[in-house]
Amino acid sequence: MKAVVWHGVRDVRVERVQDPEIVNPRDAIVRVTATAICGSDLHLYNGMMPTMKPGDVLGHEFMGIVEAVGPSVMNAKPGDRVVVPFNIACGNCEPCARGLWSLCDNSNPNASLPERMYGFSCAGLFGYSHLFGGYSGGQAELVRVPFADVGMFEIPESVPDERALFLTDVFPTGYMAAENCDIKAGDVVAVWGCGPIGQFAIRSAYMLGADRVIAIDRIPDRLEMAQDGGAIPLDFDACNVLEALHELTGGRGPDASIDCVGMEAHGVTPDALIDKAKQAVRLELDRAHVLRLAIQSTGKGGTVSVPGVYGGFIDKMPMGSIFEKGLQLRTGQTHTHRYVRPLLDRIRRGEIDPSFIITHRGALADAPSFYSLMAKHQDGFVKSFIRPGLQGGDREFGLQYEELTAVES
Amino acid sequence: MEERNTNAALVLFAAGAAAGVTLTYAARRARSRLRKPLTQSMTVRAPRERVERFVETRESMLQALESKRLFDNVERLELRDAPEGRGTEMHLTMRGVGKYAMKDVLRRAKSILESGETPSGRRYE
Repeated sequence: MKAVVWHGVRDVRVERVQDPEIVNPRDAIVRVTATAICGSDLHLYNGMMPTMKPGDVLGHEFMGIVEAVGPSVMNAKPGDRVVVPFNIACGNCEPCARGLWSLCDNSNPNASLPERMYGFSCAGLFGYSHLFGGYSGGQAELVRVPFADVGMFEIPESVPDERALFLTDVFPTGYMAAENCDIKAGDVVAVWGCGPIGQFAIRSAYMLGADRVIAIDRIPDRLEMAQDGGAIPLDFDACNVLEALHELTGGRGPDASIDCVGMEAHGVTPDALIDKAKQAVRLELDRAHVLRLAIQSTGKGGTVSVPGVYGGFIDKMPMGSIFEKGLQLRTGQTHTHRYVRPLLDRIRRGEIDPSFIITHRGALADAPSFYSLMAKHQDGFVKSFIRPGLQGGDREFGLQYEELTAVES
Repeated sequence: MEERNTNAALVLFAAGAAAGVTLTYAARRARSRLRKPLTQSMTVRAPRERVERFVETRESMLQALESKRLFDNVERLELRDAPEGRGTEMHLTMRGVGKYAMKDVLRRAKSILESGETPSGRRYE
């Protein structure tokens, strides 16, 4: 089969690899009909996440048709159309039983690696380094899904791939980030970073009752998309963000801030420049400039919610600001399994059409160029929608694509 | 004459280095054999009777240990009830095995008991 394979920093290629097979009784094999590149895939692309190996298959946002199931998978069968959450969870351990699916005790075969770094291990993830299990990802024609009996959700025919695909990560991630803010009537929420997660966080904050959402970025296309979602755009290159946030909130500061940027924050202030230098020589893993600003700007008793990925250690953490303002810091990989069905219901009720996020469509062959565009923020790139089953880069693809889309809608 | 002295010095240095490496290796091995036994703990979300049946079955424990050789390293495996029905605590004491290797043994046992299998991230080459 063909797959998107990581070879090194900013070097991903589409190559032929061996087809996956059933390894454990609760496995399934899924033929991928749609996949996407996540903002967090860029951390792998840019070489920021340790334990990647040349030959690793990327991708954790994918859906498709079940091709085969292991003997213990009783609730799915070949032919079912499913979405697959990006985290792998057994459904039986204590964290899974408590709904903390991204903290599954049993799905990471390399658990001792994160245990050394973090004290405890987190769940396995598709296509996201050996720290998270070394599982092959879904930017491929086929993928093996472990614990498929709890890790696949059937999608009704009435919901096309373009609306269902983002239930695998970005929509639940943006939603959980907003839910973590415990939004009450009248609340103002600041969303830092208007990539895909930020866009869904903005819309989710409104769904959960926010009075106003302020969207912070510097890329005009992204700010425009945020404005379409009802947010007040704030270009951090054009103003002093902290002062602007004070002004927009009558001096109270946002009730909650959501850091959708994570470990690769940009900035020109001394802390951001020091972060960049330290990260370049591996003295620091994460550039936490945005997190510091989010903490600094959030009002008294507020919440800082962090869906942006952090992998290791940061310094210059404004702990005094957290303590003296009584802030809550809420973080974590998304418990995707918890959100798929409720958010699918919202899509079916017409409350949101997640396909608004798609800016680039293509075949698997287009993935390397999409990675490059996304990393460089070129061509208005926000989110890709990739059909592994199609040939890329020619008119034939366009025709096939239109036919498929027509059938779906 | 000077060249011969240099060669002799090099040979002596190489022999000394080799002896040093060998002695360090032997000392490490001896220390690991004599190492004080370690205890590691993990909680399984399963009733105590089920965990007892598992640890008393040689084939099951072999799955967790992944090597017959490690049976001899097990000094003690104590089971205790976790509070508020949270399952069963396993406290494993082994000699000559590192902390993380022991945790992996416990993790495999826990995974089999809870999920029915051990995870595998085997990739497609």
